[in-house]
Amino acid sequence: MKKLLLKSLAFISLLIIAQTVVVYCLRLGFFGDYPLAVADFKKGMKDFPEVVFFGDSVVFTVDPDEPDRRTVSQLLQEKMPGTKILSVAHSAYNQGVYIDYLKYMIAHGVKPEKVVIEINLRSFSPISDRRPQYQFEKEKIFLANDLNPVFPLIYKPLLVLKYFNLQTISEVTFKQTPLYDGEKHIGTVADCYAYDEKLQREQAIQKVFQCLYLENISLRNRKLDDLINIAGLLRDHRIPVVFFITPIDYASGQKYFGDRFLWQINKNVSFVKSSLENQGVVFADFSASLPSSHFLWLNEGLPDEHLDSWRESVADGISKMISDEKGF
Amino acid sequence: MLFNSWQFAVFFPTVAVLYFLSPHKLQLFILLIASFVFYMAFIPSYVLILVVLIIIDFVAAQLIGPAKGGKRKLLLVISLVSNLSLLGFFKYFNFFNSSLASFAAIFDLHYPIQALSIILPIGLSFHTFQAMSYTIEVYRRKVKPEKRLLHYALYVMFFPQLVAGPIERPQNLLPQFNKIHKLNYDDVTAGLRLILWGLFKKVVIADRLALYVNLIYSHPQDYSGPSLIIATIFFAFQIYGDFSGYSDIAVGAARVLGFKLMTNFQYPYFSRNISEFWERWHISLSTWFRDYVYVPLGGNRVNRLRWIGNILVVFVLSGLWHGAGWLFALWGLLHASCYLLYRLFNLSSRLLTFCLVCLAWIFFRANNTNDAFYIVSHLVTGPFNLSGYPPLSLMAGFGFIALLTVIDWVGGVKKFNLANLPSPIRWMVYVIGTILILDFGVSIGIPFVYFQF
Repeated sequence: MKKLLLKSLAFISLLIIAQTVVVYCLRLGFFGDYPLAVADFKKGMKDFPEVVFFGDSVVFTVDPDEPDRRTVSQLLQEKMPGTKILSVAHSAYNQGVYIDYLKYMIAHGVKPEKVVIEINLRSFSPISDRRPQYQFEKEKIFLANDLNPVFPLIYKPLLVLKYFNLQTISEVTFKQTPLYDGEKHIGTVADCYAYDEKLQREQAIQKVFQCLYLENISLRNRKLDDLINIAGLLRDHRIPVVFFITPIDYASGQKYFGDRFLWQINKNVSFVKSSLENQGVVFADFSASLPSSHFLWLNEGLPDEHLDSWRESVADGISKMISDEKGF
Repeated sequence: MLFNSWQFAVFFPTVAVLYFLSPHKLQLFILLIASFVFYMAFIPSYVLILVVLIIIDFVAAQLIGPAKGGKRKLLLVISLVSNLSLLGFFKYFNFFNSSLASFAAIFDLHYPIQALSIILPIGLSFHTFQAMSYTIEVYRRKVKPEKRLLHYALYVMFFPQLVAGPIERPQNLLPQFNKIHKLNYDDVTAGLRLILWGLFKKVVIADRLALYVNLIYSHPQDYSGPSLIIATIFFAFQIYGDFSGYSDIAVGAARVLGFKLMTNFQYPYFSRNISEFWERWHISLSTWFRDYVYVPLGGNRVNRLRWIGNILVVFVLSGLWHGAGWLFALWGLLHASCYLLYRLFNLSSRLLTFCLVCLAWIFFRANNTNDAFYIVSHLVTGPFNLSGYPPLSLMAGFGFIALLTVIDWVGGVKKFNLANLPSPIRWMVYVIGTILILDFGVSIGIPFVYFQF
């Protein structure tokens, strides 16, 4: 027993030495896994930004044919030249990952004058909320462990041994998630997955509108829960926050579902708003602020929230909210 | 609980320490509790199926032991039907149901029975077969009925081989529960060596090959001959690394605890013919079918036509054991055909055998019949297209196949034993091997292929 114990200890020591060589001498610590978005965020934090602006693809997408290449983030910075704004934006970013960035920011002693959080209504739908690729687990792991000095040594081993889980929701579970129109069960994600080549474009568009926007948002919704947690976290640290809901193409939705579409959108927005206002935050609703002609998807593809040159008006609205003294 | 998980990395040393520090009377209880914990880490409620299985076969064996004549046979039949019913319900109900529904649809008949929404209990095919071998051996009077439920429960549930074998025989495993297992340095090091090699085969080799295989086999129509051939060869080594890796870890974990499980793989891709391949591939299953299906059917002591029938039955059943689907049956049928051709024409060639095995793997791996036939019919078409797959990863795949082949050749054919090397070199191999597993292993959760069976 003693011999085995001693040899085990010797082996573990050798292993630690070898791992240290691999990580620090061969510089293979994260094996190319370090998320670029986290690296950029860390770099941005060093400048102590006055405003931190979280968003998804809506804030950086520009139509390839458009002469004005400025994104919502860039337009916002232009409108507030004296303010250091850090934009944290990525396709499909959502409340679930914003909260981890905020925790990191707070843990590193950065206290901006204002945090702006974009809310895309589609993020509440299971199709977006539970999509495996939209969980951003790797970023969450790196943000949560940044202060851990042994993290570079243990990251890959713990990943291989599945201590860190990069796929918290499997594709099968995702596809089996039930979907609702209001309170009515309309099938699963697999049934309602609109990106089916067999469907005519018109049918596909209708499905997207139904699956992404028409489910009743309740307090059980994961993304609403994340928003409430974000509000609570920032309130506890006395960091003012403003939330805004991005415009959606409600007019096209109405074409397929009549007034019920706008009614359901308003109902959901009111519910999110009242849930957040209970936390004492400032909330702006741009959801039904733009006609269809300002949405890029109309030319091809399926409904999304990407905007044409009207981005400037959205940037305007956000800058006004930031300039407003209120925050909580 | 997966062998390549942090839970097992904590669980196994804890169990081993508790086991060796406990008095003999407690050791088996510890193993049984550990086995429950291990199994319940998957779907806890399914442990009840195992408990039912254990009780039925334990009682059946007690009754078979002293019984005589027809009663003895009846009790065996009751036991086997119970086991096969459980297996049939969980594994084959939906398969036969959908087959009947398709058949009814051909004739425009109404078929009212709906598919069941059930998940196959992990390893069910393995432990039902292991349980059946016990009652059959008791019936044949080759094994005495085990009087202690604890020992029998452990025979079925012994965690190292519970969910993916090797499918043990009562003659080998049951007596080992009577022995006092003290910590043995040589057993521990030999066991750990096997665990390390098994993990390397699974995490570093098989899972890396799986990345390319999954890419190609998920949409084979997007690829032409060279990609399909490479993916098929990769799959041959993926499934070998995956399953033999699992078996090595199982045998190694048991060895650390002082138990010797049967060898499940013996360098199968060096086989000179299909017959030899089945003597080297999943040995515990092929010998099971030989002893409990082929021989009772008459084996080769019957006329030629019946012998051909026996071969076909055994291979098709073996295919269906792997999965409830016609592709698996076809896979078995292909192996049967190759086996018969070998026996009739005595064709022996390592390369030919490997190519035939690979051809059969297409039916094992393809997602559906259309895909399988598409792949077979497009093996010699079109240009090579990497389709965005990193060339370096592809090269690494070939490198790992070469490494596996060389190690198998050196270890299996040349009988080289790592344990005979000077300790500094041995330790260097252990450390590098562990680092390769922990740092260069594939981190995407690719389940053990044989877990689905």
